[in-house]
Amino acid sequence: MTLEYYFQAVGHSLTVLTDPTILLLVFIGSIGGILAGAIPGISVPMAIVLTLPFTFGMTPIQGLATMCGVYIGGMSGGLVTAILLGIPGAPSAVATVFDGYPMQRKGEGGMALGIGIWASFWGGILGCLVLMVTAPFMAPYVLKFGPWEIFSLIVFGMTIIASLGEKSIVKGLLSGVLGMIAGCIGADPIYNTPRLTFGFGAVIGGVPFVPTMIGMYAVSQLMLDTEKSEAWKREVKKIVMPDRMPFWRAMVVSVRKWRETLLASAIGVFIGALPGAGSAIANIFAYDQVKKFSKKPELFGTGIAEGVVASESANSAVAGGSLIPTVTLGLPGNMIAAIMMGALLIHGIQPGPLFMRTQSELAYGLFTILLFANLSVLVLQFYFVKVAARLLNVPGALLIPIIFVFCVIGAYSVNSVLFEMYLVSITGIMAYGMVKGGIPLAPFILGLILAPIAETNFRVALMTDGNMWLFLTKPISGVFLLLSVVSVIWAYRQLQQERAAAAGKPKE
Amino acid sequence: MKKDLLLGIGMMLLALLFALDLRTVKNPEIIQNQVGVTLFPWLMLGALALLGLLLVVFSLVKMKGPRGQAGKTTTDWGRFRSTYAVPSLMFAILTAYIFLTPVIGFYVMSLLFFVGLGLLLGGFNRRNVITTCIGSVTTVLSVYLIFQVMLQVWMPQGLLF
Repeated sequence: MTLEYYFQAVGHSLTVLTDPTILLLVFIGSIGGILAGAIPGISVPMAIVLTLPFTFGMTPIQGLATMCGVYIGGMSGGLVTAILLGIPGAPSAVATVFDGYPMQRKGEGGMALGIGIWASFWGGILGCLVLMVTAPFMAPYVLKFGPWEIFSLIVFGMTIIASLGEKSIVKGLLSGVLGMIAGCIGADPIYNTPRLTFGFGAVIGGVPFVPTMIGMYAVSQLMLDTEKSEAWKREVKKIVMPDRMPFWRAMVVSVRKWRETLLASAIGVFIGALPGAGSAIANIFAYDQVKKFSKKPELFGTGIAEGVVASESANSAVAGGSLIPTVTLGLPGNMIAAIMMGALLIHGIQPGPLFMRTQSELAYGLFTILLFANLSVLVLQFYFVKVAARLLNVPGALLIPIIFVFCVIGAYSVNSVLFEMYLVSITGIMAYGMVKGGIPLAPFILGLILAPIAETNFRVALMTDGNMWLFLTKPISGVFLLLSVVSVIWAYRQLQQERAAAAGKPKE
Repeated sequence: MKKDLLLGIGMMLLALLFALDLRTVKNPEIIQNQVGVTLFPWLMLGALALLGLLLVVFSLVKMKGPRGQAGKTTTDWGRFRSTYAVPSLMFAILTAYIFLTPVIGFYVMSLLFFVGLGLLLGGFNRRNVITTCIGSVTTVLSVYLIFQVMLQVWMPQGLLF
């Protein structure tokens, strides 16, 4: 790909911004995302899943615009409660509490919010720029991947996801395999022969993606929330809203913290690009690294701008990073990217090595929309922060039934099939059981999405040459499989070390 | 650890159940010499059974170990009930809502579901009753106007509206 073509494509993609519908959808999505991110208990994946059914009637670019708005808004929205109440609205804002809340208690809440919003913006923009620069130039190399390499890459992605951040590697792998089996249910991807259906006609086309996601991420999450009465009978803390948020002064402060922003954003992009790792890890890791590189690490945690900048720029940079493997390899960087990938698959668009070539308009349009979404979230946050804070007063007893009603509408409205509505309940209880049994949900969802791609490549590889050893002897494929083994061993050793450290700690 | 043991056995049984169905699948004649449609699922079922077995072995090893003996605890039924009572009831209400919707009708069931769940979660105090009733009517009306009137998405209709 030549630079001339690249700049032409980027320039052409700017035309999406002339479409008022797309701009409006990004705005609506951003508002939804900010509100979802602000309310503890509503996660960004849950918000994206609930958005998904609304996007099916739209064109792919409009659907992506809505979801990008929710994604970027949700990443930024978590800072509202983190700063005002000391409760992270989303896992991506955990580290924002460390310095944001002390700033609020010192009477600098407005400044903390302003800095956080600007840091989110810079991080998001940097993440998008990295995506814009790397994805198109990576794509030609990825195109050289054959079915052996793609299959091994999926195996690598699945093992990383299964072994990252969980207490049991076996259960992580188990979840991935269960997802793969669920992905095999229905007609096989090459000859359309039904399998594993138990004669049940409703699943011949495969396990419906949207109701499964709604059940697994919304229903099970709400059930988990209601286990602890304080989660839904939220005792409404008195929210001390700052009188004003200094827009320009906050910008100046955030610009002065450019070193922290750059370091945290780089960490965010890198962690986002790793399959399975997301903003929940990125914000804490970036906070820790920025603290280590700081000349005054002892001030972190006392309410300083650097802490807010580190957390917020890292969690927003994750968005761009997570889409790099999605766009180039067809391997989602995190749960949200997986949901967006699923939405594209439903539209018949396959993200992956050919995506940048066959869907270049959509791919470059996505980059432009992400940039615009960051801008829209920046503006909206300054106006919606008070609305988002007021929403915290809505009792859980009112909010939970509303979400459930939308879950049911979302599941049914895609295909108007009753079975898909029932599936919400079935997958909801299944996911709840999985979480209670210590089985993570993310590998299952990724397995479900990636199973047809993995199977197709596996079979095409064997049909091309029946020699199974080629998966190991082809250099790139072999490296991916080796990395898969290394990732499992590494995760196992980490777990052992953590257990040994925990056993050595005296009981309180 | 007992939980993991049961989980491992459950996974092996699940693999067996799927295997019984997979055995009945016949490859189309055109692909007899090619890679069959069941090869990949067989591999996945094998992996599931293996991982289930690993869970069983690990949990047995831990149960026999000194920490496993010391870690034996009795189930606190009071705590168990207080933890799972609300989620179980909520799930039961949701399931009833979903499965009765085609019979009764989406909008009426949504109203009933909203009120039922709102009272379960918020209690029967006056303030919550009023909030729940207003919230349910507003939500259902908004859903009707947005989905049915504006977006032309028809939700299931039953005996009632």
